[in-house]
Amino acid sequence: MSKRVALFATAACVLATSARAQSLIAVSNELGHTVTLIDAGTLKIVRTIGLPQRPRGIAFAPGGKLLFVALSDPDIRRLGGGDAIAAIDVQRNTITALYPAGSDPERFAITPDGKRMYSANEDGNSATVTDIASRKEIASLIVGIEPEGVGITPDGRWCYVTAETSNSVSVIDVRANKVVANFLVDVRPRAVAFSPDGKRAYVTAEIGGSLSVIDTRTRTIVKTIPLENRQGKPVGVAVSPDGKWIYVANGNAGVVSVIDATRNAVVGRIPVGRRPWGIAVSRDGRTIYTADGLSDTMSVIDAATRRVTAKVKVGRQPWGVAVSP
Amino acid sequence: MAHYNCNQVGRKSAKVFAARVIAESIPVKSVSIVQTNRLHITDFCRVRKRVSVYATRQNFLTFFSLLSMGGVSPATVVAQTNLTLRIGLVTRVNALSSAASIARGVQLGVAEAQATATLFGGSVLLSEESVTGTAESAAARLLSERKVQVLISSTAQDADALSRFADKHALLFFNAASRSSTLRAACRRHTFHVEASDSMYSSAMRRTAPGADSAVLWAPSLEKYGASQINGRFRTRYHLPMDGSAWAGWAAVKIAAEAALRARSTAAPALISYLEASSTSFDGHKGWPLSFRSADHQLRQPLYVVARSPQTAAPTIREVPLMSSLATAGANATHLLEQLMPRTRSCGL
Repeated sequence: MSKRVALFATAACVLATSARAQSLIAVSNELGHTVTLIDAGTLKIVRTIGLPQRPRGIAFAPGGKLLFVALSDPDIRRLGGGDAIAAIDVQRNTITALYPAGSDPERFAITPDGKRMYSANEDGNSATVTDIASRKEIASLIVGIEPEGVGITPDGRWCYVTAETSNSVSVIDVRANKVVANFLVDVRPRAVAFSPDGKRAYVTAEIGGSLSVIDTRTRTIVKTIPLENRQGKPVGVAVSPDGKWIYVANGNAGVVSVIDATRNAVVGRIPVGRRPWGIAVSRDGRTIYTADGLSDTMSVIDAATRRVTAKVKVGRQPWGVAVSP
Repeated sequence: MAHYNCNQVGRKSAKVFAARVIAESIPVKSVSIVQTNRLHITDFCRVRKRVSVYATRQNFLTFFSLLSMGGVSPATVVAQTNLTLRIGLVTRVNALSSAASIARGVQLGVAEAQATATLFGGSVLLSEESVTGTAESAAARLLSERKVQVLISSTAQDADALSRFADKHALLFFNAASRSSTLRAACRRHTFHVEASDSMYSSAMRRTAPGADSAVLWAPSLEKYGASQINGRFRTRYHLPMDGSAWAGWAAVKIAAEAALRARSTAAPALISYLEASSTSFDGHKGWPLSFRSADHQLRQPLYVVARSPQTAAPTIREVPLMSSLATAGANATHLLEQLMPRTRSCGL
């Protein structure tokens, strides 16, 4: 408990200046124990938020007021008392809540109504459902072993959880909070993203070196698209707002793959920094951002020309990137 | 298929209900129930008035998931495999410590494979048999009494006998213990080598700078690519570090169970063709895609060279080949890993 209080106090001190209403990009820096907030228009760093833990998974809640960040103990072999998912009020510059999320929390997703959070408990085989307002855990569901990627369909109806050891995806009925289906994907699935119409899910497979395209109605794989000769170690995946393009960050290749969603075919490759994992697309679909873990940069890609137009120096070992709504 | 009215089911537990399904020999396809004592049919009846049950007599699993779905979706039926993979572990009393390590790895592997199989309506079971007479007779007991489809030996000394037994009786033998080149040169169709060969270990040593102490299959200090997760799960379960033998036992089970799940079969020919296919790869938490060389069934995998220095407390560990070599243009994981593997001439390589 004392550790939580300390975390709250530290973060509250660091968050000193007030935020303006603007489109923000947030990058979690795993080794730097910071979150970098960047103005999406000017690409200037608005501020750096210091945290006493390793931040990884990062997402804005609907509305953009709250930024959620998964925090883990710095020693990855230790079950840390500070492991939690923190909600940061971007305008008031305070941590408004710390949500218990098992040990070593990594990825999570928030329902479109902003009411609930689904998180993967990587050291077990469960996913936790948390009520954001009451901060109470309302369900713990059995999924595959080493759960990792979490995604919620745009209509908020279904939650997909990938599991790295089991090579599985579990489908959770968000209304009933029950696992209703499981299916296999390629080897070592990591992240999951959905098409804007919710008809397709896209799952990266790190060891399989591919992107699985899933029909969300039948819950079957439509196509498995090999990326970077299956050796790129794809992790992050993001879909353009019009649903036409899928962008995948290949960690080992240092390349973003561009996939045409109509043809389910790779149509471009964009070299970025070293070990890109996190990837996000701007709301207008014109810009793509990657968190380049071993370059300590965020690459900024022009979606039209498919070229890197800027590299923003962020903190040490950037992990994830999120764009405010 | 049978229809049950919720009034008929009443407040009976699912266990009672399951017993009734079995007793009435309902020909069912996809539902099975585990932990029946925890399930209550009335939970479902609150949601739906009529229950359509599909179940197998031998497998009673994920009934829960169907209850929550409020019906049977075609996707779930497709995803259900209803497979039971039975693994037999041949052990010896007073064996080397590596045998105990392999057994621990196998047990963890089975627990994890069972958790995964449960998601798909299947099951993975482990039977252990200690050698009292010959290894063949222990294997024969596992086959006749436990109907195992996969054999694993915890000792190198029994590997050859079990490898022969597997060919003779058309079941699979996963070698997690023996490094023998003679065993590999036998090129037996039903044997798959998860342990590296002696020559792979010496090849790994030759590829590193002088001063290296040893080459290992796995190290408890590995962290990347999910290594810290599996090392942590092993340490939590046994309060011991996961060594190379433990990894071999765990990986043998993971590979066997994954092959059965993906091939949707526990029959040896289907498993062999899946294991041999060039498109097949496995994740052993080593970062590299692992696969079997089809000619001699040796697992392609990186090894780790350990160097102890008097200056530093902890030994340094270097993977061979280096993952970074994979990022260079034109690099190919299969070719890079095969550089460690001398050709076994007798297998047509």
